[in-house]
Amino acid sequence: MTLNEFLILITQVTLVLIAVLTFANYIRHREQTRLDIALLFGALAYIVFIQRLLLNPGPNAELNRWLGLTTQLALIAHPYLLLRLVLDFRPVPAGVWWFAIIGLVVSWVLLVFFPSLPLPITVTFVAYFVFVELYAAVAFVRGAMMTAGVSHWRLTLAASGSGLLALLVLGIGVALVFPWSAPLVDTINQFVGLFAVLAYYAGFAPPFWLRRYWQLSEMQRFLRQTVGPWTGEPIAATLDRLCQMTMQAVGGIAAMVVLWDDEADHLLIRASTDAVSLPTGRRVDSEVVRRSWQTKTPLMGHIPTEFTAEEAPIAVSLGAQATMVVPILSQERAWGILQVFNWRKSLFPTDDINLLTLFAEQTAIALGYATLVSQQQTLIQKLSWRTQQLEAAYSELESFSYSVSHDLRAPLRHVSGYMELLQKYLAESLDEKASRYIKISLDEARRMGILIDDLLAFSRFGRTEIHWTEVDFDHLVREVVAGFEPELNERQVQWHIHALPMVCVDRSMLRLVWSNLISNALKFSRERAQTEIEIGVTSGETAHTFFVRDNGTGFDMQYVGQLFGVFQRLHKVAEFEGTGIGLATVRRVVQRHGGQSWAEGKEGEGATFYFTLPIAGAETAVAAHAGARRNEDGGVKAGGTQTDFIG
Amino acid sequence: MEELRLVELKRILLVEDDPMDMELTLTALEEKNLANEVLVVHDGEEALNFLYSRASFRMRAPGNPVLILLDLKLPKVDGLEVLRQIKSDETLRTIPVVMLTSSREEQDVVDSYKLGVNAYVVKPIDFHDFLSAVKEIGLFWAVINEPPPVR
Repeated sequence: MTLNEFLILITQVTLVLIAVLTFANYIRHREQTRLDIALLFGALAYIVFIQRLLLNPGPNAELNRWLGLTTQLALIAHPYLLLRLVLDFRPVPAGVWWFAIIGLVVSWVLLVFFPSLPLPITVTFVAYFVFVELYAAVAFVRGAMMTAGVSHWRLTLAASGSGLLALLVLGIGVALVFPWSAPLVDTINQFVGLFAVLAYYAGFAPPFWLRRYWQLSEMQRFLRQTVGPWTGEPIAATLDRLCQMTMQAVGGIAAMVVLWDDEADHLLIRASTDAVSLPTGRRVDSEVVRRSWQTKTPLMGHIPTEFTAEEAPIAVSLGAQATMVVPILSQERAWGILQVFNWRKSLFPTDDINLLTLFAEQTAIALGYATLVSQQQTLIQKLSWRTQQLEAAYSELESFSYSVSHDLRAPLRHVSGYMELLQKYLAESLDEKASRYIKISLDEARRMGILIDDLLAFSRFGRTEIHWTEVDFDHLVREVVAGFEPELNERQVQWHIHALPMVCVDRSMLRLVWSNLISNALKFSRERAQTEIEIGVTSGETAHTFFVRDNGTGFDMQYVGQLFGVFQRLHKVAEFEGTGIGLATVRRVVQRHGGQSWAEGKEGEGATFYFTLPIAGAETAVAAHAGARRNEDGGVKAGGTQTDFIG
Repeated sequence: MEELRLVELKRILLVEDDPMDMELTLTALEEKNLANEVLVVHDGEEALNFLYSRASFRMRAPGNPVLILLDLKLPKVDGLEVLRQIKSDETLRTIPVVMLTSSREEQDVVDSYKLGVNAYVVKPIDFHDFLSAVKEIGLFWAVINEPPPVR
């Protein structure tokens, strides 16, 4: 087989392959456009097939002649079939259209009835052929320029095929006029024909992988342009650009995004290209959009045949004869519809719909993201508003407690001061009753002073910042206990103090906690001949539980709920003095450290107060520390009290 | 025309707007025979006028007091501002200043010390405590403490 023969073979096999593929495509989707494509290549494949057949002509010479003639008729039909295809996606001027039809009929008649034609007429055939081929090529080029993605590439290749075919026929014409150039033209045409057919193949029946590749590159471009929401661009701007890109991608006249609006309970225009004269927020009622929305599937519509009258306003004002709609869906919800208006139906609708579906998916993601962002912003706004309110309330509280601190204390001090002066002034002349009255006034003023101070401390520990430091509770508790020693006088107190860990807390706050609990224990056990107070800890995995146990008067568990409230007391003032703020302060401080506080007790049998502190990262240090302490048991004897440090 | 006060210099300057607190403070100082050593002014502006010998005090005897007892909450110029001006003035900064106030607010205490106060005393509500506090302050700063030499 010579190279020539090989090239011809490839060209012919490719042509037949295209014809089979395009015909199969038509069988799958019976549409006018697909039929036109199938016819175009069917005719070419027929020529190839008959020419193969005539290489070994049959015995019947008349049949052979007729078969040869049909191939010529099929070839002459090529420009007309090509123009039919162009008409499917672009308007063709009537003059061109009639020129093609008349040319076809005249050519056929001449070919059938005049077997041998004079050269000028043959050359006219060639010129007619070349003109229509070139016209189609230009139409394809213009179509390609208006579209993007797969359609763009397919139209470009279709244009190349038609251009090369025109070149091929032009070569034949040249060979006819100048017979000496025939061998050269033949050789060139072998290649031109092959390239023309390969271009047609890639354009009209591209393999799957090639489509995917084209789609991918378009998608990448699209993705690069739709990063808007991620850069904080308002969603309306992103949607506008999406419309623009969609329109360009499929060579439409206009595009718009309609989104479902819960409030309006309807689909509303949210963004559109400039050509759509309707404002955003306008309801969309068109049949094709409604159907796509209901079925959640992409649809194509041909305006004169498939549109309802309601569709008319937008389409008619645009001069569109076709439209494509794709639902914008994400996994969570359906957002709306992406609609494109076209002059005519697409030459490659499947590719366009696929591309639009990818765009729509990306749009759904962008919308989802934008919704999240706007929800987040709303939350942040709410939060900052709340924070402002809180800060205002806080500063109000601050100035309130400042007033309490400063302004309430002053008159109290005066009452107490002048009472004292009065007492001194009257001195001897005071009888027992008057002395008692003055004493009561002074005591009450003093009590109110303590109340104010306790309340202030309570309020202060609730709002001042916690200064976290490692605090050795062994040390702290011993310090607090030592502080009470002078007040104990002749009381017999037996202390049992277990080893306590290092804890990360606010030292002054926790000092107050221990002080309040120990002071309570001492207070409520003072009727006992021998007071016993046990202080210890049980350490779990996540928290230490500290306790202070006494053998005092205890309390009825029925009232345990009242223990930790401000100004709540379970005992009469006459029995046990106190403001009723101590345990409230304990609870507040412990809470602020992330712990809990509670109490257990029985009337007449003592009480145990517990509080927990969460264990932070310093746990290992604490364990080592507690271990070291285990051997340091010892007693401290002071003022008739016995202190045991139990390991 | 402002009234001129031809006051002689006293050892203690008490800045106190509340007449009752003033009376109680003076009563306390009386017990240590220090009451005669006290000059009372009633707001921050007056205190500064006295210290700088200006306005109604422009004819006062020269020299500085050995102790200033300063209330925090004062009309016109408040105690912290008076303290700031005293402590940033080369000729006044050596005078010991004791805050004598009702406020236990941590912020006030911190601010006062940052400005260089020499002591911060919260007026006790109990008169006995108040009495002993004022007496001790007066005794310590005006009698025991060695004042900075006059240059």
